[in-house]
Amino acid sequence: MTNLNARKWPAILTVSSLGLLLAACGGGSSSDITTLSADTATVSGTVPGTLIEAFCADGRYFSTHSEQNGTAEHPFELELPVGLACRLVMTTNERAQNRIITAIQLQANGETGGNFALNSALNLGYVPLAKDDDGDGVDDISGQNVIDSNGDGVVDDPLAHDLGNNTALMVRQLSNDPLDTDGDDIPDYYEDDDHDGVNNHEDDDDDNDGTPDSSDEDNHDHDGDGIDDDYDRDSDNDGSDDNSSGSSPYTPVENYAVTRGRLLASQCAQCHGTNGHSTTSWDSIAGESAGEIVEEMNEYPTSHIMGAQGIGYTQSEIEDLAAYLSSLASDSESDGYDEEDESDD
Amino acid sequence: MSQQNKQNIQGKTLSRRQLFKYLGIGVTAAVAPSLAMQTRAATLPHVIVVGGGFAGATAAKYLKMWGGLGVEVTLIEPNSGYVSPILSNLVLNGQKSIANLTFGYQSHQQTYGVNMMHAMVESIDKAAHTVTLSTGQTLSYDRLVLAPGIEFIAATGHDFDKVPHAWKAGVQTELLKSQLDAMGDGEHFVMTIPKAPYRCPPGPYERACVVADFLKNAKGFGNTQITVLDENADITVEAATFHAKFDEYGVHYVANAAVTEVDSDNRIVSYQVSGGATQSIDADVLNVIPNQKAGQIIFDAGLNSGNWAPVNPLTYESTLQEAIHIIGDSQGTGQPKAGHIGNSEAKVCADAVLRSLNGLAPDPAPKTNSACYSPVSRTEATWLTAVYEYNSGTGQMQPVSTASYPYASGPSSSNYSAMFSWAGNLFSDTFA
Repeated sequence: MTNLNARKWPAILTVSSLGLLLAACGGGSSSDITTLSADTATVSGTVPGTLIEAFCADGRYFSTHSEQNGTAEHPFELELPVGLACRLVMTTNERAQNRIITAIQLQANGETGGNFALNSALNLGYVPLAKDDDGDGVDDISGQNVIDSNGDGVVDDPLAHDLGNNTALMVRQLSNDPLDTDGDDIPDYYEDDDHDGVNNHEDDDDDNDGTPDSSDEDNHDHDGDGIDDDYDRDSDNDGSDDNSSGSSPYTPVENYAVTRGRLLASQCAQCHGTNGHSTTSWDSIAGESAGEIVEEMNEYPTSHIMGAQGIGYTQSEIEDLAAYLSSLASDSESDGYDEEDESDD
Repeated sequence: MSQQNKQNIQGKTLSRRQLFKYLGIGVTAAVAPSLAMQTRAATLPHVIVVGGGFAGATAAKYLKMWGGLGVEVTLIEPNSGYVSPILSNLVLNGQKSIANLTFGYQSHQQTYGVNMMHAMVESIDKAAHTVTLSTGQTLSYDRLVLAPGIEFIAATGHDFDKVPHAWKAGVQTELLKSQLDAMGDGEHFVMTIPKAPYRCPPGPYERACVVADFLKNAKGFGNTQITVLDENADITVEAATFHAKFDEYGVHYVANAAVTEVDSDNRIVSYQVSGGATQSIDADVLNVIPNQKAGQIIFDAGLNSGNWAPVNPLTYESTLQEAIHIIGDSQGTGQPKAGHIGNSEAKVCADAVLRSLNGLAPDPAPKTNSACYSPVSRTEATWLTAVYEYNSGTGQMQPVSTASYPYASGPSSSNYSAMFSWAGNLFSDTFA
């Protein structure tokens, strides 16, 4: 796969460089991009003193702590995007050795699973998490044994929580959920892939290859939530959306919406890479200004392969696809190969 | 996590997660077939893509990239990797290896969440919307996308193991390479070109040039003979460019030459020019590229009209059967048959399928494009390209009417360099 994933090779290609805007691409506004609904809704409930975490399909991470109110049932509220698939994990005695990490499985509307999406505000009621202040392996509240076979702090089975018929959420079973690859409703974040008794989140080398995950080249998911960094809207799980700082590319689509520009722009990808991210010396076109793309599509002679492509698109098509491309995040590395021209083809 | 979910494979304990990674398939696929069908969430539409070449691999990737968790996608492909025919003529002159051109499906599984199944489809039940695999499993689909590539129509006596076609890359390419490597000066290389439409229009002419350059210039053979028998009336694309190169290399080009029989043991090809008397050439290395038709599954499922599968180019849905789409070389829209445009059609199809699953009409005016860089020596390449538009009058795709396609360029070393930038992004857009 010589050219696959190759970094740019300025030295090798003296020729082709002039922003071979190959598959036809150009400008406009970025008003009609496909994004998730911006709406959020609240998940609320009570717990016995707890960190509440949500891992979501676009890589975003949300968390909150319950409020100490002097009773045994501490209330919490967590805002989550409407329609976005998420998984919940709750931890009692969070910072202590005897913390108990419990993945939550929801039962609603005849479906059972850890993957759910909100339609509206959801009240979970009291979630009967295990808590073990004295570290004796027995739940202080129920008196039941806490089963954690490998001692990584994560209880073996998710806690099933029945919500009956409830229009506030959709529970889904996916056969291939990136957040939970093995489908056991324990998110990958809290699995123990290398069986060393330390869950992935707390394991700084979770493939046991001797290289810390933070500097491991085979690690494409630095926050370990199952969402590849390239698709992760919060790739460090710091709770803040990377998109707002402009550093993350795009979002998996949950609620299907279409724009004319997206399909047209996808026809640039054969030569300029998926979503305009080139893997070769040819130009990346993601995130260029719409005006720049329109100009590039119109400026080549038809003796140049980009010019020969460019004449196949109407001005309005060029504007639609340019609007879409300009809405995508650009490559982190520069694609400044626009200076040289290829005059002999 | 629990210990109960561990399974033992070859003495090595794997978690379920690792096990499924090891098997290269999704969770649903790994459980018993009947259970698989029950556990699939009733609410998620399931799209099955058959064939992991340029068209099928692109369709599966884009269906998940655009459809996200709202759709389940399974890609069924018998092989663990795909060998690209694009650039494979450079295996013949030693500039590329088969390994350079082999792509797996790791990104499909790990980045996009496509269920990957390595199996053959044995049958399609069009009424029940199910496919049955060589493994015995039966899977149900809401939409089925078929991308089976091409099947050959072999001439009488043509044994591919003795006289390679090398038109599907891999073992066949290596067989032809070994025969070319063993040639001596003064020997005769003969290749035949099928009647259009066939996969990759410039490909056969490109091969004749690459082989001629290899024998005459790289190996320095002054007395080698090269004959090209073309069933078409003339070189089908970039005619001026290839005629000029043929003249330069001393290639003997015969138009309207239809192969009638191949003596595979003795490497003798018989042919008729414009239906005239049968003639024969005794070759030292013989490369017969047979005539072509849609993949066998198209015929088995009754989705063909003649040699190809008729489809509506707005959606690539079969005009003979609802919920089945055909993309890539097997589809019969008249667009060229090649990897680049197969990738292009796949995106139009993926978009239309997702729209349809969400109750939306397809894009009424999709565009596709083709582009191909062809090496003509170890240092030079040429290219051609075209954009296709939908003609609502004929219901077909056609080269954009205002653009006077095709454009062709002359060979150059700059095109040779650009060829790898083109192919690299086409490969990554399809497989990475």
